[in-house]
Amino acid sequence: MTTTDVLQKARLDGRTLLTEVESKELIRESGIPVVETRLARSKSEAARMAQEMGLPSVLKIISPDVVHKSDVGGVKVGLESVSQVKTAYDSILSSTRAAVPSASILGVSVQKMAQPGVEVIIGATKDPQFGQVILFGLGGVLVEILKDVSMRLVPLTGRDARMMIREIKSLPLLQGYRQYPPCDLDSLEKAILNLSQFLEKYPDIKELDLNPVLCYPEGLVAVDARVVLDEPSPTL
Amino acid sequence: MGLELDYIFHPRSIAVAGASESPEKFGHTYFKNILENFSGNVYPINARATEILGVPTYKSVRDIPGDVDYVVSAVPNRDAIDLVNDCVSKGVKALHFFTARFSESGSEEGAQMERDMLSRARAGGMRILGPNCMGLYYPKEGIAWGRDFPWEHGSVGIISQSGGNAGEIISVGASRGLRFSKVISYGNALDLNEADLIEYLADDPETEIIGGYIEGVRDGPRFVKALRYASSRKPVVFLKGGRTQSGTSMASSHTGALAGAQEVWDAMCRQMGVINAFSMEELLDTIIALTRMPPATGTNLLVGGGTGGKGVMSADECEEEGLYLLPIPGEVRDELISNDPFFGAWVTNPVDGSIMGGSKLTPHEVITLIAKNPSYDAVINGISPSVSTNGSASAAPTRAARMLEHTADLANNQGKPVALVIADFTSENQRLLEATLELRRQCVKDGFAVFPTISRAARAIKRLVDYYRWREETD
Repeated sequence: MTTTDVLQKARLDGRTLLTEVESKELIRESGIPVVETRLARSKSEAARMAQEMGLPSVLKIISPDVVHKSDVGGVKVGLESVSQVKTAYDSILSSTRAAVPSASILGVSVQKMAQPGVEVIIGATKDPQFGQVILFGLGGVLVEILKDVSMRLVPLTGRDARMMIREIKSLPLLQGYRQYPPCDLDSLEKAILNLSQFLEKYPDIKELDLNPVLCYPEGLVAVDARVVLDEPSPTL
Repeated sequence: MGLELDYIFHPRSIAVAGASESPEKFGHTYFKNILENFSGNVYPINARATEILGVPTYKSVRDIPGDVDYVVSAVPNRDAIDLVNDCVSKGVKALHFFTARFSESGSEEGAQMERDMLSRARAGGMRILGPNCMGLYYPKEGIAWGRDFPWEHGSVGIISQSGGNAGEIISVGASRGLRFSKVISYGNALDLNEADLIEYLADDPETEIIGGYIEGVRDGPRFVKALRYASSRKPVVFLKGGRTQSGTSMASSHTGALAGAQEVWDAMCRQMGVINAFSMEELLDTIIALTRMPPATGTNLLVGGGTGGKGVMSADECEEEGLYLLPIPGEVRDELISNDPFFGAWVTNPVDGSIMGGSKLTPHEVITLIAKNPSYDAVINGISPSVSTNGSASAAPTRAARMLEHTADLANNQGKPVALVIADFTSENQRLLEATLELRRQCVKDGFAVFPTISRAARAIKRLVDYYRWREETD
């Protein structure tokens, strides 16, 4: 599916929240590296996909009614074998159904587990006064507690991207600390600039999280993505 | 870009609608100020009084025989529309409404009146400043709304959404040595808004630094564009009011939850190179640093004037602001020791002047000697007048003069930012109080940057350094 297809499908369904798989399809166009992720609708499909993409795997629930997937037991990581993938599939479905009985479940996303790296967040939102804003910071599930983030208005210049990376308190972690090798800050800068251009092209993206993005000594990859679109403007 | 507004700030004639005989009223003060100081024609408009301050009045702006470029309105708001119509038919170029109680009252009636005023003014090719504002302070042209604003002019241009804050910036700033090119209180920004005024000051050759107080922005993207343009040409310092308003309770992403209105404002300032002041004191301190100190990009600081525990605390405060109290370098130490083996070996940064009793060197000689070393980027020096216990201050003037000479040498010849700290304090000792005030007056008059506390001086220096570092950073 192309970016336009993803957007059109969501609009036709009357949805503003894109699924993880759709969000990643969309982000891929920006040039930011994204972990290949497919939607499995059955246990056997999940097992086949896991084998094709390579183990170990990560499985996540795909439901428009579940915003925080790990809160409902909807995420399983480090699945080393096909049988573990199959067990995880069942477990994700049953725990999601137990936690949110009314949830409409589209399936389970399957991806190869990425190599560990430093977790950062790259995101976007719209400020009512100043428009599109890009956020960067230390990523992971604690991002809202740590609040170690920096922001810039779209469009960003190279200097803006460079400075927002240098602005966070955790910068030393990105520059290499103890067992963490230094991250590739050039590719991080490039990803931020790619996102800025992407947002200019798609002004109806209301909110976007790439969290976490895993940073390596060479390159980076977004392993989770969430995109929220603007409410449709009232038709006349 | 913004100079198309120039005619508003260089009127050839001014009429005051609602000019008043009552000395406490705006319509009186304003008319009196321009009558005494403005070189062009001035006209009082008042339907009842026949003359004001000896000048015959007119019933309407239309009755004035000559051209009128600029009209100041102190009429009640029910007369505002009629005044707009009269001004348009007279060919007035700009109309400033001191008159208030329009959209800011929250009433639909007030908002509707504003819309009518604007559409009539636009149709007639006239610009509106305000309503609900103090308008223009332009000392060079003899235009002011305050009774005690200085007529001496300077290089600081200010825009302020609030008239009260504009007045405070002028009065408090003036007492600390600031002089202004233009101060514009623009109130409800019905027509001329913050972006117009920033663009104007960015191009205005009389303005070297732009400061502002702002609460809400009429047009975000245009405002950002104006700031980007202005800050590429001169330093821009803004204080934002209403910082605590919440904005993003409905976010469904981490990013949305983290990007509140204040966080985005702060980020916008960083991105546009705007110095983001968090209080009125900081706004003024920063402008004082920018006007009265040379540029600097280093953070190695020398502090003098603290004694004992005060010195230790001042060191903490400076380092908390992001400045570094560099220990005295070896070659400076050698020079100090060659001048005075005992005290030269003892002195540290911060320099404790109270240990220097009996030394061949005075505390200020020590400070000067250390500060001249190129490793130091900036100096903060606490000074106070000396008054002997019997109240005589006879020795003080020579000592103070010598001290100021040393300070001037540092500031002028070494090209380093030098902040003087003279404490704002109350004392039962009347002589000490007077001597302190006199010392501050003298230092301000001599062009020094004077701050009431070391931490405020340190913060101002850090803001200065951050600004010049930002300018050095390339795209």
